[in-house]
Amino acid sequence: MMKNIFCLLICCLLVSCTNAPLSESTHFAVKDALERTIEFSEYPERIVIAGKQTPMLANFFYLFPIKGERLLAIENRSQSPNKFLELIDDEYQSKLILEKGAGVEQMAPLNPDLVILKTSMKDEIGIGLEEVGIPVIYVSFEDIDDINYDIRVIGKILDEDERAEEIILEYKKIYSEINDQLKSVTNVKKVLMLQATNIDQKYSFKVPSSGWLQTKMTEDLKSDPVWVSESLSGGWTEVNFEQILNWNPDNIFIINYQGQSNEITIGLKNDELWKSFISSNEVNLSSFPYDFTSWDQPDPRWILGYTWMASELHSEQIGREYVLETVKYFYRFFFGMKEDFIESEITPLISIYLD
Amino acid sequence: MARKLTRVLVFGLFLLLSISILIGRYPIPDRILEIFSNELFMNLMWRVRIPRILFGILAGFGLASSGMIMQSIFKNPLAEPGLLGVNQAAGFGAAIGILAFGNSYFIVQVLAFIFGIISITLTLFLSKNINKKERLSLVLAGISVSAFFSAGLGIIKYLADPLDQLPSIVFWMLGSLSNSNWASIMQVLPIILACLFLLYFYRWRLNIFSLDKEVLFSMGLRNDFELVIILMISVLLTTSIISLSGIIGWVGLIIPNIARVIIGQNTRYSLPVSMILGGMFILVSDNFARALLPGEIPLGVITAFLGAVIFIVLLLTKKDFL
Repeated sequence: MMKNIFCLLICCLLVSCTNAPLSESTHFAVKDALERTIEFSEYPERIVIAGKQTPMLANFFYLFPIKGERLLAIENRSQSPNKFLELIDDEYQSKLILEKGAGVEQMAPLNPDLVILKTSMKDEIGIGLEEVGIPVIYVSFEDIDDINYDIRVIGKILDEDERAEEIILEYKKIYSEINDQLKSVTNVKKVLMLQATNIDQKYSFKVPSSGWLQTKMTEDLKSDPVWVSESLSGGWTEVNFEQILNWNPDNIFIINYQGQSNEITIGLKNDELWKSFISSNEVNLSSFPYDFTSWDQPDPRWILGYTWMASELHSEQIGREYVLETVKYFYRFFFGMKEDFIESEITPLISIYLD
Repeated sequence: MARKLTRVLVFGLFLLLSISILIGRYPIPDRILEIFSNELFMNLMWRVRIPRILFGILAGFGLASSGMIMQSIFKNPLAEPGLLGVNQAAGFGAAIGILAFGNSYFIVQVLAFIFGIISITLTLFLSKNINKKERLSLVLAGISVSAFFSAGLGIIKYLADPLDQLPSIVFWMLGSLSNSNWASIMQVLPIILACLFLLYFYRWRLNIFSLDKEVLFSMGLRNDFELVIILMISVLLTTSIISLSGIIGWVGLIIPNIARVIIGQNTRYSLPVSMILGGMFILVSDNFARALLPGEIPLGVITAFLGAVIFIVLLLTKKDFL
């Protein structure tokens, strides 16, 4: 009897010894965008994406093949990613949608093992979540370096480091391919990016903050972002028509986050005032592409925005065909779409911007 | 004396108007001949600056005269559309319009007007039922009604789409003349002009409302219907202006008081002076708003800043002010 008990104890000891290295291997730490080190004893399985820019964060999350399997809930914010994510994830409709502005009390009952937030959400919600024991990872996704860093962070928490490196490599490849083609460009164009809205034929315009991705994209395309020269306040700043004339840009890109950039551009081209501005100053007015979201922002599609801008500004070096091929390649590689799926679901949405 | 002063002010207004036309972010061509041959500049003048400047003057006329009417009717120098809750309520109505009915200007204007009327009715009702002095009770009622609609506006802002509806609502809250083009001005011009003419030609009779109730009664002149009509005209005037410009504070409060300091209590003279000063005040404020920085500064911010400074100076220097 004693012999049996002894054998059983030995077996238990052996089993626990073999398990010990396994649990140690799962243990990992991540340094987030706020440079905080967060330790995990196992890979998060119930992830919530919340706060500002949730749609962009969710789109980045879906770059990984594990996709929505570990996504528990997502906060409902403007520029909803639902339409796009439903297209690529059959299970997306089963995800919980949190109401806009959901706080600790709404998230805690879901018992998530990780909440992903933008860095700016720390005071608003992040501290509260951590106080009740819910781990939080902050991501920045503001400029190109941030995007690469945050992709690595998401790769780490999903145990998809290799995929993260692949994604970053592909971004860098497309980016340097475009830049290589622009090496011979010497003519610096003055560019103005305008977020435009139209209410009853009354247009209002805003320019982005100088530290944002839109500025970096413009500068890297050997162009002069005219709005940067003025010390404007942070965020989107409203400007009037006279200021736009004063900047006298060569190219104006109209951005609209409700997908109306093309309609607004057509409206402006038919407006008497804008007509005289465009003709007398030889301004190129174009609408920034929008498929499920606008391509100018820190979303996985920023590289498509960059490619399209390159083609608009330097059509001799970057043709429309190249943009279309990049779009198809992007959706194939980054979101795993099939060719015919891209043709039927994506190409019709962007064709108006590539004419 | 009064006529001479009015003429001087009218001249001052025209001078300011001429200077304002030359002020803007877009520089004037160096040579005078180029001005007329430069199609873009002429378009800019005709389609952007001139309508904006003219609407600014109209808005100043309207808001200042509304303030004068309310101060006369309520016998309270602090009464003005903002203090009585009209601005906040009109903003609340417009925000409901933006949130629930899209961006139709007509619905926005109608709702702004309806809520403007509701607010003034509520303020008067509360004021009569507050057991305080008449002046104080009116101010307290106005503050309560204003706070109530501000809170409602806050809820609507929270619910609004930050990219689509919220900017329109924020525009309402801070005020701007950047949307003043000929087409939008024409939508409100008939109402504004009609109200201004009515008030202008009725200005002599406003003095009667400044008298005490007992005196009016003994003269057989107490006519609440007439009073309500005048009040409605001034609310309609205010809401028509702010449906296009958003909330522009301080004009209705400070300008009528300055006019009274300059020309006296007689509304026959103080109303026109108030109108002209209101136009000048908005013109100067809007010149700063559109030309000082590359980005548009909200007009309501400038009028509040200038208004507060003028108010403090007058309080400190004029013993009979208010």
